[in-house]
Amino acid sequence: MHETEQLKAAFATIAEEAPDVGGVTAALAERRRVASQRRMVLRLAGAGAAAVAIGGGVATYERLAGRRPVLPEAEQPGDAVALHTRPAWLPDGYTPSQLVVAVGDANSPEELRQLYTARAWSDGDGGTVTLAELTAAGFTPPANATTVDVGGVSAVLVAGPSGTELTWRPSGGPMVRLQARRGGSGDPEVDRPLALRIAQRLTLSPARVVVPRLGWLPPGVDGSAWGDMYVPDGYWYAGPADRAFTTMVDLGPTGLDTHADPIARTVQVRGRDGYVTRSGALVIHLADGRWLRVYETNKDAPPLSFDTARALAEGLRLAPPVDPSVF
Amino acid sequence: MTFEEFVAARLPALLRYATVLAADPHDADDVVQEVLLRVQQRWSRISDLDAPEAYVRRMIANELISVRRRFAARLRREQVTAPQPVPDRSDEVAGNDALVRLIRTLPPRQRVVVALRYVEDLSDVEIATMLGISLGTVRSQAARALATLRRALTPTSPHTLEI
Repeated sequence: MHETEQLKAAFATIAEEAPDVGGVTAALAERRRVASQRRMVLRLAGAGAAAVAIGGGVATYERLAGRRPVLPEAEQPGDAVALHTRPAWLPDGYTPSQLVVAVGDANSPEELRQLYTARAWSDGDGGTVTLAELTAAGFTPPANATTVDVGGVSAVLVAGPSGTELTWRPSGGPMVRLQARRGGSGDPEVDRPLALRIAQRLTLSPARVVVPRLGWLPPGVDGSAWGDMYVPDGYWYAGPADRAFTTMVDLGPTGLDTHADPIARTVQVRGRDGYVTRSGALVIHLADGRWLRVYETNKDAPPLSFDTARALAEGLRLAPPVDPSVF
Repeated sequence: MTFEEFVAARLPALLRYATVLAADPHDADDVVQEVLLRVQQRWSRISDLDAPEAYVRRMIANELISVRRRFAARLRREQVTAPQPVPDRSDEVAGNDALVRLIRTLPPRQRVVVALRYVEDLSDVEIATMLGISLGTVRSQAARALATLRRALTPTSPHTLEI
C-alpha cells in the first residue's frame, strides 16, 4: 500500500471515533437559553424606558455599583412588586414563558428609570403575547401609530413585523403595553385582531411577586438599571442591565452540569454547602432545596474569581418561585 | 443561512474533522463545542464570509494547537480520565493500529499539519495560511511527524512521502 494511502487509512480509523452530535447541540441549546433570557431582560429593560416619558411616584432603588461585599441578613427576601392586570383570554396553546421585573435602561438618564413589569406567553412556535405594566404616567406615541378603542379607552396601536403593540391605561389600572404576534405570521392583519381581542378582555387582578435583588456588584458595573426574570421551569435570573456585566446569577431547581464543568472544590457560602467548578462557577445548595448559581456566560471574559462569585452570592436577596396564578 | 441551520447541516462533518485533527474524540467534542459557542456569538459576521465553514475549520485547527488547549486537555486527562493501557494487538492489522497509535502520540501541531495535508488534501501554503505559521514551519513539522510515523509505515511502494 502506498504510504499516503496508509496514512489516509489510519486517519479514517480515527475519524470513525467521531463523537455523536448530542453533546455539542445540548451545549449550544443551553447557551441559547441563557443568552436569550439575558437578552430578554436587557431588551425589556430598554423598551420600558424608551416607551415611557417622564413619570413620578415610582419606587426608588439604591445604586449598587461599586459597593463592597457586605453579608446581608441570612435569607433576606428581595423586593415585593405589585402586578395589577391579567389577560382573561389568550389563544389556545399559549402558556407562560416569563415574568420580568425591571428598572429602566442603562442608556437613559437615571431620573427616567422606572420600575415596570412584563409577563409573556408563547405558543412554542414563534407566537408570543407580552403584557407590560408601566409605572410612569406619560407616553409619546411613535409617528406610525394609530388610535383604537379598547373598552371605551383610547389606545395607541403600532403594527409591525414583530407584532401589534397596544398602549393604553385601562380604567383603574396602570398604563399597560400589550404586544401580540402569531407564530410565523409577520402579518399585521393577523396580529392586530389577536392583540385587540386580548386587550379587550384584560382584567384588573392585583397580585404581588417577590423578586430577587443583587446586593453587590463589582466596581465599575452600573447597577442603577436592572432586571430580574422568572421562567416557569423555576429559575429566577437577576442582574444589572449593564452589558459589561456578563456573569449570570440565578436561582433554580438544579445545580450546574458537573460533567461538562467538574467540581474543583467544595465551599461554604451563606452558611450553606456548595462547590466551585473548574471554570470558577459557584453553586450553593439553599435550605429550600433550590440552587444559587453564579457563573460566567462570556467565554472570552476573564475567569470569574471566587471573591467576586462569593460576594455576588452573599449579596443576593432571595425570592421564592413565582405563584403560577400571576400569569 | 442561520447559525442553527449551519450547525444542523455541518456539525457531523466538523466533529469528524476535529476528531481526525485531535486524534481524540473527547478533545474533538470539547473543541467543536468551544468553537461553535464563539461562532454563535459572531455568526452575523461569520455568515457574511465567502466560506463560513472554512473559517470555522480554521478556528478548530487553531484551537487544537493552542497552548491553552493543550494545557486544558492535559489537565483533563490527568485529573478526570485515568490513562488506559493500550492492548497489544500486534498480531491483528498491525500496521494500521501501530500507525494510529503513533498518530495519537504526535505533538498537536505536527498531527494537525499531517492531517490537513493527507486527509484534507491542503497544500503546504494553504496549511501555513490556515494556521498562521510560516511555510518552513509547516514543512519542518511535517518532516518530523513523518519521521515518527515511518516507523509504522509499510514500505511496500517505491513512492515516498513528500516532506
